Amino acid sequence: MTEHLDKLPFEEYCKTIFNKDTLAEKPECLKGYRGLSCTQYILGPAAAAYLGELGAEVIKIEVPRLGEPMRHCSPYNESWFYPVSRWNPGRGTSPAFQGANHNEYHVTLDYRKPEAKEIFYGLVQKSDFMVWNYRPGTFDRWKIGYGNCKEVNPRIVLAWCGGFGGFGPGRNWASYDILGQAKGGVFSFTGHRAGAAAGFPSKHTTWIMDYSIGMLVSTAMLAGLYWRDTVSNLGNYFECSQVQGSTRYTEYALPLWGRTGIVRMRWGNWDTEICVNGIVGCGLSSYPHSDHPAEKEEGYIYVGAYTDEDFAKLMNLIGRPDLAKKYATHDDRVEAKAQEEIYPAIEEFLKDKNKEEAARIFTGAGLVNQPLLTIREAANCDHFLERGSLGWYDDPYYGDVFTQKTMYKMSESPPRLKHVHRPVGSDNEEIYQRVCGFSADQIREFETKEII
Amino acid sequence: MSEDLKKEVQEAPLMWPLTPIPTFEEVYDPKICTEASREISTIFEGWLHPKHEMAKPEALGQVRVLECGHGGLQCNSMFGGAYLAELGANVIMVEPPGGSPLRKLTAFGRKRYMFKDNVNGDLCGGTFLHECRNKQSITLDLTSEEGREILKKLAVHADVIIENYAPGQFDAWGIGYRQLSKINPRLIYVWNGQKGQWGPLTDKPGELYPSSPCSSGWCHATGLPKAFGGTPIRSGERSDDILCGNLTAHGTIAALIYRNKTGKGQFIEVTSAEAHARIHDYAWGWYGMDGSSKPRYGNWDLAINIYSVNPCKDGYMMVGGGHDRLWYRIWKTVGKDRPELEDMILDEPTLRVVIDRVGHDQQVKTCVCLTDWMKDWTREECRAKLLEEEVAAGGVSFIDEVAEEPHYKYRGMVRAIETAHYGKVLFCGSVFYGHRTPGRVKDLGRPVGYDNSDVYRKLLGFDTDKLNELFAKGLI
Amino acid sequence: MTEFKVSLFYDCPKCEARNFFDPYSYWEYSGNFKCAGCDVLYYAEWENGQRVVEPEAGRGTDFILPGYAETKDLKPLSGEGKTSPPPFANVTFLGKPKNTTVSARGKLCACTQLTPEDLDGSAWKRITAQRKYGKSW
Repeated sequence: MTEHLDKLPFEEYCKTIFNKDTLAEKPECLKGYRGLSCTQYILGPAAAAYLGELGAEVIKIEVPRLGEPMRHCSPYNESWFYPVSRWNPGRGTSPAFQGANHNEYHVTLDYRKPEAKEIFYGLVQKSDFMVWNYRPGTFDRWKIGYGNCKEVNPRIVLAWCGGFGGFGPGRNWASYDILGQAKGGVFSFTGHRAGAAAGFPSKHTTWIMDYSIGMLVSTAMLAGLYWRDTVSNLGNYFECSQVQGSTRYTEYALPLWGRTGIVRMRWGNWDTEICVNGIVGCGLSSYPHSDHPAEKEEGYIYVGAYTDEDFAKLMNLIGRPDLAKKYATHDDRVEAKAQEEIYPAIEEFLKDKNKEEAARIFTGAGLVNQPLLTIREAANCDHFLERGSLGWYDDPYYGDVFTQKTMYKMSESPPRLKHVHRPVGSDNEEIYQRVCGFSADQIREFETKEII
Repeated sequence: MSEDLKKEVQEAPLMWPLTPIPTFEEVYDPKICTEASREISTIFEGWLHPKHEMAKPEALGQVRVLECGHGGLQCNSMFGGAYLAELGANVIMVEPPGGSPLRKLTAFGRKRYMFKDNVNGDLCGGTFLHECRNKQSITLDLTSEEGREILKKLAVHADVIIENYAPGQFDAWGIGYRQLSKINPRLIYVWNGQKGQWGPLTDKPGELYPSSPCSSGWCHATGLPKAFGGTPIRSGERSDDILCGNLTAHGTIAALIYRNKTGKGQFIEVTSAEAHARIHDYAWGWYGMDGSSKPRYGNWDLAINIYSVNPCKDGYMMVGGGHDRLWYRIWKTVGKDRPELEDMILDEPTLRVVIDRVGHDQQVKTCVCLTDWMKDWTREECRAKLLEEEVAAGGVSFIDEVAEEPHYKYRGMVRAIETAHYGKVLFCGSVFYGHRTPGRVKDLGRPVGYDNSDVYRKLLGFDTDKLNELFAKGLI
Repeated sequence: MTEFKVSLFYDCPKCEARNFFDPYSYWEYSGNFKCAGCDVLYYAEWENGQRVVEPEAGRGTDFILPGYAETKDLKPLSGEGKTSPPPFANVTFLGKPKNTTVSARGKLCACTQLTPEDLDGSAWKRITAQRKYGKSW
């Protein structure tokens, strides 16, 4: 079977084993695992959604009728997918919900109702993992926290995620993603350098802390499941604090502060450790006649030329051989003053070119580069479409949507997208009957009493 | 000389903590904390506090990882290996003889920012040190045929191999997944990169961050808008390598679970461009609906008002409160000092309904009123006032403030250890707090090739003569 | 308690328009701004967000625009040439749900407000009708 694969050139080989069109023919990593996602916003939902992509059956539990708040935040209030639920067809779900809720079944449950606890225990008994991000102690007060769940199901792996963690002086502080970025330290060194745009820091364009800590929470649950299934047969409890994740990403900042008292600062689009390795501005727009506002702006391009040969090549290319001589070694050119001379020289060269032309020139000289694409360009970029990272999708509820698809590629048991997301409570009947064993009239009764 | 070196490293300073770490009694003092809160926190601490972590089992204790991502300057494999090592895997870094090029990275090339080891006196950069947690180091020259034969022998004993060399390099060398999976069908092989090892934008050799966020539209949407004098901006930290590292750990464990059931290893490709695209939230759904291309909005948010960072007297202040419950409390706080600002907001008809507040005009008016109040107060003062009304707010902290925050010190998030070879180092603890199998950091940093003797002997049966021979040939 | 000064907005004495200065462009700015109501140039200086020189007659011809402006009775005065351009995601800006039944490439999608009669279970009838073999989960 593998003989013909062995003979293929490497790129063909990769294209074959990671082919996006044969994903459904391959088995799934987490076949047979079931999990609960009692989460809102992005941090918790993303953690569960990554496991849903690997084949687990993830059941998302939301507040009845309107669901969780992430459904209701849409950019410019303009884009919505309808209905948000069968009880509220006039309202929609924002596309912000779709990144963190792939492949999930959606049910509703009002935790505060006394009957809800038994229903919840019924779900816990049949689940392998659960993730939640309510305020610390809330679930414990409702008797559905770790202490209770591990009595009901000793094999369940639980993960709580939240802003500041469940204990310590700051345990009750509310947190959002950008508060995590701000309090964790990464915000202070992302943004414009002092002297440019008044040196303002900038938040990341999207909720990177939530999504990336979600990956870590998800990893913790996978580790818990692996340990349970290979070694211990015991459940587990993980707690991941979002602000801690933000600090975990600060690279050399903490060791440097501890040893020397030096504070890491912003350095804009350049790199503190490697030169030349940064984003420079081109003078011209790629679409000067376009009406579309995203395209009228001038272009930017990433260029990497940090070996001595590449740097000399680049400097000769832009007509500054003097800089090649002045900063011949890497240690010379990575110093701050040197970077402040080198990058403006590159931008001077590019001020009458657009990014495609810059890319042509750099590639022709054998220098690594990547034009900075707008969302429109990235959405139409063949690279992502061919690889199946992005693409159009025929969703069973919402029709033709453009969506992000998978997080990485695996050759034997790849993650895959099955549906983008669903309306609130759309799977109440299915899940409560198939998983919990309630009959149709019991479910109707729960709904009338607004337990679900 | 080596005694002097050991002394020098041992005495290298640690300027932390500048204020004492709070104690349990101070944190849960009955004057500031209810009995119920103290009770539940005591239970949580019993399960989760890092002071108990070292005695507990490790989730990935049976897994051995060969971290081969040390041929160039991409940090993704290093980050991925760090998470697996925190969870207990035996991670062995396979470095070129002389050491990984990542050891040499330091801000602005300044050697005084680096850390000296007490075995060879070599300098190591901060990022490498911070991410070299619980890892072992061996050296091996993969550019030579004989070196690659040794790697094939090591592959028999490895569960996971992680590498980030140029696309197809290991395959051309005969040590790619196709070849190694024949030697060890249970092997899990992970390739890390910027954009991919196949496709129209396949990585070129030497390609680094921020190439991937440029290609996925991420950088374009980050930074202050042009109208405010901004440009697209990359993140200060290597967000792409970090995302790649997170997903490497994730995918590796998923593959281990699959292997546990079926006995089969597999090839995993984790690229940062794909990771960035995956987490770009509403950008794609919005594009699909009507071709909208998400613009950059600086520190404000396109979907929620107020959810932004604005300048104040001594820095930058984050305030969040999109829904009515918090919106009115924010303005009540502002109104205590500046009633006219609160009136301006309450009188504005387009700010009455939540969903009307996201227009740009509304955001400008809102942020101007908020910032006109904040300009007279420091971050701590703003925060204290807003916290009175239970609004989530916080100043943008620099790393020195992060290092001294009592909450982080108490939780062991920011902590210091005396490492075996690099003196006392301040670092951020593992994110994986857990009841039964927490992640943990046992040591930071490893001198180059420190474990050559241990690993080669243990796994391949090489004796002293063999090791001397390999060293003489420049293979280790 | 000290009296707090206003820094980031200004009521033009000539036309009574209120000009709002976004905290990013104006935090450390010294120079002219153009009133959105009557196009007159004023000179002012800001240091760390505090307006240290109050608006006075403009100096020279360079200027930047305010972030937003409105009349005395709260009618917006924003627009091209009057206030700094907002970052647009598309050619037009609506600020309200943009109801559409087709995606950017012209195929059916459920992006329009619905009524209970439009529903088949939890989905839009027109979408489920495309599935001739019956309802699909």
